Amino acid sequence: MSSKNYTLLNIKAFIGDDDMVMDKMIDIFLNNTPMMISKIEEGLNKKDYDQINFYAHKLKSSIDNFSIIQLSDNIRLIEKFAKEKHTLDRLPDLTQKLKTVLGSVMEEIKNDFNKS
Amino acid sequence: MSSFKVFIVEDDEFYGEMLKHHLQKNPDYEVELFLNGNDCIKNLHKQPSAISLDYSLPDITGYEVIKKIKGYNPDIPVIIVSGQEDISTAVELIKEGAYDYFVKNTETKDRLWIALTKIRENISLKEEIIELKETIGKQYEFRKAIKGNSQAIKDIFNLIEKATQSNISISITGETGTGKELVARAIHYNSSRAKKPFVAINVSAIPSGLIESELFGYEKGAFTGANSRKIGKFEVANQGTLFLDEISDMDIIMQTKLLRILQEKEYSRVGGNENIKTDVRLIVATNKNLTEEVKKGKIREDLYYRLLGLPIELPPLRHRGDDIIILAKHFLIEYAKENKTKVASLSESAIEKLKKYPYPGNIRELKAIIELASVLSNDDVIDESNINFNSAHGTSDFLIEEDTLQGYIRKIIKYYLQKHNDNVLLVAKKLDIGKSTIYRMIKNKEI
Repeated sequence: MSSKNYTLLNIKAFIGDDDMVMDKMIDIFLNNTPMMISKIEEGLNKKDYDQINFYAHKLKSSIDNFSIIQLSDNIRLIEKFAKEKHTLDRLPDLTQKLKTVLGSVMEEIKNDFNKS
Repeated sequence: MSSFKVFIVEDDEFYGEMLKHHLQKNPDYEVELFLNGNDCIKNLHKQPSAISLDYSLPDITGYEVIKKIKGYNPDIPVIIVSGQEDISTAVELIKEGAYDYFVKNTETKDRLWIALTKIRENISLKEEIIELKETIGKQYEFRKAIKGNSQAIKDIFNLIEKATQSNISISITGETGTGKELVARAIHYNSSRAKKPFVAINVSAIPSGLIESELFGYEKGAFTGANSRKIGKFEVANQGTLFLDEISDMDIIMQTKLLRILQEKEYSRVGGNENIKTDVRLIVATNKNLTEEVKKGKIREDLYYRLLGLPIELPPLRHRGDDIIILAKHFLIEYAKENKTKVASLSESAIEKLKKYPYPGNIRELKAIIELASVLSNDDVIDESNINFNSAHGTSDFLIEEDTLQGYIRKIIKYYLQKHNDNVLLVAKKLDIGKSTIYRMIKNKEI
């Protein structure tokens, strides 16, 4: 059984076995994800919950595409709480977990694909 | 088919790239990804064939993007791809002109693929229809479609030209076989309505009880046997041209209904309450004299003035001089094309014979004569003997060629003798001449 925090099955179902495209998709994920986490953190600091909702919504599709199961509920809760503006006190912890897990996943991906 | 350009508007670059890659599996698709709404709008001049639009964008809302796309070109199909299922938004966007609304899930790529395939098929069909219409239009380019060089036909060309430049009703009169429907089609396909339907209906061919439902359609249950709604000819011809041939055969009650439509520009289907607006150009035709028909009470006077519009009276073929030979040669070419044979020519004597005949059946009759001559001729030249006149209008051959009075008398007597098995006594009685006159002519080999 894989001990990894992600799988590429969903992406492969979409694009097939095309290494070049997969490489491009990995680059996009590695480039965009830190920016989206920063935007969520920024929203948290500014109490701009629409911004958090917006970027959580976008990040959700990447999390689903990489099958990052640990974050599947997490990202949905961030999106829901920010959108409905309730249970806001849970957002910092949820965001911290998001950042930590995504950090690990990105490291794993970098190692798996020899990305610096 | 022209190239199929797909715009993907998706701020999630990852997802957008995946969609792009997926759609590019079809080598005919030219796919472009935009990460925000404004970039898509700035690139609409590239004429995308379809747009996949993420509803949630960073710069402007999907709602605003679709409004701008539809403002630029309402025919561009826009498929909304949204991260959330929101029925009220979906309904609003469909109202705004969205082609479809998908929620992002594992099936999105396949649904998008199917939707684009359907859009492409529709575009292909539309292009085919436009191409066909252009081909038909060219066929009916009237100076080519209507053959002839006589002054009579040149006058008709001038009238057709005027008819194509306005929306006025047209009434075409002329003997049977003079080409009334051809002229009506030529007017339609050379007018601003050319890309819309031309619908022809022969009033005399439809029983009077059925003409109303034929013209206006009917609703389900309007009468026994009306199992589903039927669209009438007025609805089919909307924005195009409706050609009513043999208009003088329309019964008087139906004329009243037609008059009301022409005045109010709306009607209801039989058995229906809904008022349907109509924008139809009417061309009517008859081989009868419309004024006479009004006098006889067969056409309502008020309808007559409505229908008269621009009157075009087609000349009989016998008044068109050398057009007879131009048309005969045209029919020879058509015959050769249809039968994959060499185009035959006409001998001098055949030309002379054709020119002298009065053609009571006009161009239709000439065509039949030429087709028969083409069948009868043994080589590539059609001569006098191949030209046979079998008019249903009772004109006998002896009237065709100019002759002296004595010449005509001989021909008449010969004709009667043939008809009555050389019974001289009977012929003398029928023609009220002496039997000795006939015997003398036989003896002198005059007949």
